Amino acid sequence: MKFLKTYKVIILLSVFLLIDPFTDINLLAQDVKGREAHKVFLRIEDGLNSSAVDKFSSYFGDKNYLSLANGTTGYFSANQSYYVIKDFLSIYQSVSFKLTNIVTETSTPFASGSLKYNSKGIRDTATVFIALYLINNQWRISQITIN
Amino acid sequence: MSIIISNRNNKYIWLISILIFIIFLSGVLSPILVEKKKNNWDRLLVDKIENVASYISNSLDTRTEVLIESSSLLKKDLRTLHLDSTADQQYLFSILSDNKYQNLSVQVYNSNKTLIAWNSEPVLDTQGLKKTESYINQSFFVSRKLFTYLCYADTVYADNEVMFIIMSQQIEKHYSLSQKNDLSQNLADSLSHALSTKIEINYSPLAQLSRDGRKYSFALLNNYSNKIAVATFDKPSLESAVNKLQNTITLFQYFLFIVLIGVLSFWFRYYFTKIKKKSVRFIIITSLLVSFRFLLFFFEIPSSLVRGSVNDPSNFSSIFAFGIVRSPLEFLITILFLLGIILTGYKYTIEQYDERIELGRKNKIIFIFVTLFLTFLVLLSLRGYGAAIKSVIFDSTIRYFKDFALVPSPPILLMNFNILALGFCSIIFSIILLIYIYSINTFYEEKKGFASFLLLFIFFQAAGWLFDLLQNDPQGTPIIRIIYITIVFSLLYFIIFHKSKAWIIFAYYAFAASIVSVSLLTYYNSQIERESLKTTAHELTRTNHDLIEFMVFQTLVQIRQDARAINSFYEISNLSSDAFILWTGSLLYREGLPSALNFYDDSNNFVGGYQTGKIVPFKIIEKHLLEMKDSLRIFRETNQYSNAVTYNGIVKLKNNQKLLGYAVVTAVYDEDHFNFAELPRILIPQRAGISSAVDFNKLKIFHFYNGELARSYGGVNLSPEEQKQILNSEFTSYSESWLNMNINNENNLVYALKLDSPDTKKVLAIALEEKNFSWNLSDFFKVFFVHTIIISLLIIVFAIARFKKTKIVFASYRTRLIGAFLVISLIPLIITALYFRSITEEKNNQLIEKRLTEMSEQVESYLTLYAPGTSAGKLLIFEKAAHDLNINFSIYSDKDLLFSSLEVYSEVGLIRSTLSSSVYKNCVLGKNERIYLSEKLENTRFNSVYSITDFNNQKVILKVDDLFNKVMVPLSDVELDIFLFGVFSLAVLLLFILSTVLADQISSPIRRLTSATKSVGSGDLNVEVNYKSNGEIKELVDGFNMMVKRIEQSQIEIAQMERESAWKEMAKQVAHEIKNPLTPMKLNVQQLITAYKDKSPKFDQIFEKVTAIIISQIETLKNIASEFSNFARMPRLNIEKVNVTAVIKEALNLFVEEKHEIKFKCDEAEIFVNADSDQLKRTIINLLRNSIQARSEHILVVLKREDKICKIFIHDDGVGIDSDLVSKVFDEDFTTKKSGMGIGLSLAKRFVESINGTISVEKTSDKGTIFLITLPLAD
Repeated sequence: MKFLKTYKVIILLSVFLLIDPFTDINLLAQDVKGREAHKVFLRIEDGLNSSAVDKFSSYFGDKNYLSLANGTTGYFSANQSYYVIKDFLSIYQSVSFKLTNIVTETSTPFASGSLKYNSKGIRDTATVFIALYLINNQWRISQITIN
Repeated sequence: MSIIISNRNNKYIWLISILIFIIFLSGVLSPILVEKKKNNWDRLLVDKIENVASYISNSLDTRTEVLIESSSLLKKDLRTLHLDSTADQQYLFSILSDNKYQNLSVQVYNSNKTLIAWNSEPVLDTQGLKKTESYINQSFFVSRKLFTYLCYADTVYADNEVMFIIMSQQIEKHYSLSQKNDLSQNLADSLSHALSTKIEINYSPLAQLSRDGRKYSFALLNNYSNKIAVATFDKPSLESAVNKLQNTITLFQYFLFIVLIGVLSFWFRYYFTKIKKKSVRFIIITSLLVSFRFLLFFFEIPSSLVRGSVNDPSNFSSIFAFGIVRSPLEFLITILFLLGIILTGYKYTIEQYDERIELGRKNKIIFIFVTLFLTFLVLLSLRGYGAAIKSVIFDSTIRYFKDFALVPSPPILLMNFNILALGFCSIIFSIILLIYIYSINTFYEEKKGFASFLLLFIFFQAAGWLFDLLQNDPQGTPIIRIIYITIVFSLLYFIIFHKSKAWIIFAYYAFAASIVSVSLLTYYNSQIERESLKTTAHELTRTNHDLIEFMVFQTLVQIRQDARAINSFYEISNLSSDAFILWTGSLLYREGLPSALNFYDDSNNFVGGYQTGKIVPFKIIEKHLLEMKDSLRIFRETNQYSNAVTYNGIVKLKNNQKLLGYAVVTAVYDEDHFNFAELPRILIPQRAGISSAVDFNKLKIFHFYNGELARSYGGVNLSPEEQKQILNSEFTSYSESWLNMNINNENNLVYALKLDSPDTKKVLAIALEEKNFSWNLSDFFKVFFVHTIIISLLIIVFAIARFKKTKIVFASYRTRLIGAFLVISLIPLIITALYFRSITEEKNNQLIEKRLTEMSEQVESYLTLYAPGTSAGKLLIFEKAAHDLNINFSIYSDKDLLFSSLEVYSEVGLIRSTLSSSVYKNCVLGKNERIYLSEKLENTRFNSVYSITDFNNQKVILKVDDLFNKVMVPLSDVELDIFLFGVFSLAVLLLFILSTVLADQISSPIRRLTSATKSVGSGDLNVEVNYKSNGEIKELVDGFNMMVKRIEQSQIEIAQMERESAWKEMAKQVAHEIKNPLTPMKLNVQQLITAYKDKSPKFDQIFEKVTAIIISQIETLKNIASEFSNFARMPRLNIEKVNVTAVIKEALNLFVEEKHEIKFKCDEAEIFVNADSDQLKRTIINLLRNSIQARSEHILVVLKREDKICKIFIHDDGVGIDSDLVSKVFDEDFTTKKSGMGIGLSLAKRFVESINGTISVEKTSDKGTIFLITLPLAD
């Protein structure tokens, strides 16, 4: 019986040893992707903070859902998205932008934050929601909502 | 290029210096002004605050004055009425519906405060009305449900009682169903926008002034100086004032810089025109235009000046050339510059083509290379054009075939123009290149005319096919390519063989551009329709649990921060309107999610809310309310019968730590359904921003989980084989796959997207039947019609701008014929179209009315059948009727709303609680049993049927409309317009082309006769008009030709007779004159002979005397001979300073209507010589007529200035002159013609030489002849 117990323990240990590295690899891969997504969010944060769309325009996919405080809503091509946000930020000039909540441990990472803007002398605040999706192993912007 | 300093130059130099100085000065002044602003800021701030405050107060005063004036007008009318008569009551309603009260809400109450007349939903309820007693003759604000009004209360003594008038104007609309910000409907927003500072107005006399030091707060006073509201605005900041100043100075500098460039261009324009090489001129103009465009782009002009939809990149934006087409407006500016370049190129090309001279024999390989290169450029331009149209479709939210309107919105109109102009540029660019290719090949290949043209056409079609074959992704379709090449060659045919120089050719270009661009647009639209399957997949995967939870959370936070909700707990018993206002401002509304926003008081009682369908069972909420400990919580509920997940978010609403109640936000996430499925019609345009091109109801959606079909949408199930086909399809690295599949015997396009996660393997497939992708004629017409309107308008503008020339054109026989044809054919067409439209509209209205009446009758029958005895039961019966019959309706008792099947909309205030004034007037006062009305809610037009019905012995008014009920018509107004106006625009185009061709044919002999008559008038009797068809015109032409021949014959005969008579007279005169000196000569000789014979000693004296006399007489004889010679010379010349350019043009004008192509090339408008202008013109006509008679097709006259002479070359491509005859052509009596006299060229030579010029045959061969005339220039 003792032998059987020892045998079971060895089998379990072997299974654990065999599975564990793969689990680690999976976790590692997820972690890497998560870190990449986090970096993307930080770039977007930097871009929105300085009203510079160029800083994150490379993350636009061929279809981007934008919903902005000026009423612009819909799917836009990468070309359009660039100018739609640029135009928005030229009117709603960013005073400061900070992402307060970043969630990357999901298949569609998202982040939200608060945008303080100045529009022709009128100062106000808007909530920003950004979501990403993975395409061809690269993170692309799925949607930007500024409300 | 040397620039001579002249007065003209001085003027420009001064202007440029001043501009540069101002630019420099503004740069220097900028920091000084900024510093001054900083130093004086305290004083300036006070002034600015005062200005803002007075602007707000004035704005309010202006509105109040309007109310007071309108009220006094109404009072005058009321005094004349006797309201106990029904006729006067009806008249009062008519007065209130007058245009002067259109933008106002007016209510009239009797002395018992009973509403007796109104023109819109009453602003005040009974309680509110009581409060107004203290505000008589004063203005005040009233906030009611969804709106805030500025009101004015007044009284009038009429019909023996005191009546109350409430005159109101809407000041704020608290909700917005529009996607874009609409500032015009809100006073505070429009003031904020105008004054560039955030302004908030608390519309309550009890409102407190703000204590925030960064804000300025002041009381708003009414016309009695009583406080009625408090306005608060952000104090202007120094930073923003400085920024504004700097921006203004920068903009001013940009403007000056642009003006400077403009002035420089004008200055150098004079020198550009001096450049003889057209290619150099073209390059300079192009460079200037391109630089100017980029300069405007760099200075953000007009982007920084114009805001709105035309400058909105969501309507169109492309990154092409650093973004010079980033909005419809920028696209327009770029296209205008491109038009400038293309039209300049076209002008030079046509001029060059007109002046083309034999190129001589060049290297064959070079010709082939150039031809191939230019062919490649034409095909490349077509590809570029296709790519641009693709961008117009894919980089835009405008759906050209979905958003059809007879009067398009500004961005759609602008984009339509841009597309047309782009096509116009592409067509002209291709024609420019084709002209070069044609020119090269006709000269090299020694083939002329149609055969060469046809060969080139076939070559191009083959090259186009090959070009597409070599590309991975050719733009457009082979059919579009074939159409494009065919159209371009048809236009080229007009230019080459019909010598179409008139402006009308540009109208043809424009129509051709429209046909090609709309074809491309339709093709790419079908592509985006396919692409929309992908968009749908993205949309379905974009919305997920995280997003829904976030939106619920955000809405809760928004509510907690909203003062309106807090205040409403104190003031209003029903918070449904507040819930609707908050919901329309939330992300839930924007996303079009099935959602709800409800309010509960601190005892958990429901106090109002709004929801898109019945999605929130109260029991669940109550349970959560009881469990509520935190200030904000979100609960997730799964539905056991479906995959829907409900998120309920609750937030406590407190004021000064006192619990007022709860706001509950609910949103439902269901992977099985589109989010917006439950939204009513008025909210349909706000559906989640899927800017898709296809009808979603036609889509089929399949969800696969771990290799098995889990769910399907669209009423179709897939067979196991079909499922395998999707799952085993080849997915790209982007995890997507496109398939063509046969589903249910219909060919479908399927888009599949793989969504792998660690625990599940999902595949989402979206399918649409191929037949649903639009590629039809009706779509084509939608844009073609708009293009036709644009082209017609441009033609009118062009005709007005060139009025002088237009007048001549319009006076011509041909234009009158075109006009007559168009009028005769268009009038019946327009009448038929309008009649058909009106009939269909009427039929549609009748159909809608019939359907609504049927619904109304169904409800009436139901109510009659189930009428209960108690009033409490009434509402239940109404509700049951709505449910059982599936008809939405409202019931009014007298003027008040009794029931609405869509209670939620009446609760929030979207459905009016008071009967429409026109219905009251017609049904209640006018006793009409049933009326049919067209009404409007927001921007949606709808139709209603109101009918008086008997319910429990009480007369009630039943309302059924097509806003909340579906009524289908076979052909909608939009579809009808597309059909009618599309067909109409095509008919106009065909009629225009046919009228032009027919008018041209009919008027052609008349025009040729006119031209021939002018030639005869100028002395050219060799002219002959050819006309083959029989009829009166043929007789006229033959008569004319015969007349000219007879004139010519008579002239010859007269000349012969004159010559004979002159000779006779001359002989007589000569004989007489000769006799006179001969007699003295004879006598003297006889005297000399006698002296010699007599050996007279005076012989020597006599000899001298006689010889002197004889010599003298011989001199006389010589003089007589000279006189005779002079008499035989040509008529006396009238030598004067003559402009050769003008004379040649006059001569050429006589040949305009002839079939031969005669071109004139001269760089200078004026070249002067000393000559007889009539003789010079006759010489040119003579040479041209000789060329025509030598069977020339093309004649080119070139005039050049060289040192002290000018040269006139006359090139022709006639049969030439035999080399052995060249030396004789100027001899008198030499001719090769059957009917010629052989004096034309000899006379020409005599004339030219008489003014010290020369005339010679420069070159001749079987390919043609070149005559050269040289004339000395005048001093």
